Amino acid sequence: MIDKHLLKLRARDAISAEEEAFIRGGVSGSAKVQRDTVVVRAFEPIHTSSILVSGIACRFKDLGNGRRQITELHVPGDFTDVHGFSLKYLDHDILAVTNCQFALVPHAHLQEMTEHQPHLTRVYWFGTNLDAAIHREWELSLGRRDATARMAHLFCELYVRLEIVGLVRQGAYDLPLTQVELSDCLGITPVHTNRTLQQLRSDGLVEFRSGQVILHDLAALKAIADFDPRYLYLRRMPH
Amino acid sequence: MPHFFFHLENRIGVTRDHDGQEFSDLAAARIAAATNIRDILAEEVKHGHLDMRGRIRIADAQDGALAVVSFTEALAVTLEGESG
Repeated sequence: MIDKHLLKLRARDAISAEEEAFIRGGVSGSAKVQRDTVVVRAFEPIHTSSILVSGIACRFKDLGNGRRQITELHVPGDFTDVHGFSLKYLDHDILAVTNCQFALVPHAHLQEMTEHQPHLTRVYWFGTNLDAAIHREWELSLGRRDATARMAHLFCELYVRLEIVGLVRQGAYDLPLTQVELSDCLGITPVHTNRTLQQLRSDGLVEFRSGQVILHDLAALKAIADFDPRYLYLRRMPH
Repeated sequence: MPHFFFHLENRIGVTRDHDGQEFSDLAAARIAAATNIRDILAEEVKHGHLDMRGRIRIADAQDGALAVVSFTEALAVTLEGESG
């Protein structure tokens, strides 16, 4: 169930068989969630963290008038709210954007990890730092990239993150988001999102249709996005 | 809630909406169309253009025309020498 999670961890560090057994042993169950369901609500106490097994989830915050900003997309293999272990509650919601399956890890298990598995503790600490790096890159996009570059950057980021967990096939990956959801990632309106998609498509760079992203010219897309993948810490380093 | 489709016509051509969005009624959809127009024009202004020739055609799921919101309706422009 958590094979993609292990792929993600092993892209950045060596995980021993004993550590793998410890991680697998911490999964107390699983939950299937329908699309558009809030999985973790902000400011409510939490005692379990969730690894995304399948589907797309997100972190979002919204204003009193309902305007929503998605602050990170989660792909299979992500520990969507491991930060909830130390925070005890989240300052944002977690939403199943598509139908999702989660593997549930009680905080008691994470507590045991911090006491008996120092290397894994550092690996998961790295994981929360990686999420922070992704947030910083999204901040840069929202503040300084124009709509086209912002969209190009998101498609490049997801390409890299999904490739790590084996979900890119022949330059394409599934992203069954609506234009509204995509616009909530990019901080622009849905019609603006549609127009920007059309521009990228007519320029021969990327297509987004039927819930799929098809990359026609990744090099050109990276150039438009000013995409530097080092923020995703892709090298394997001992922690 | 009814589904509304926002087809954009502007200087780069027609961008058809294949997703649509739900709104309580046509009045709410018209307000959303104006918000979308302002967002698109704001981006163009950042790139040094302001081309007010354009509109969003609001259609239903059967592609029946329901309303047209022009760029000029969505944005009040006051030019140098005009009274505000």
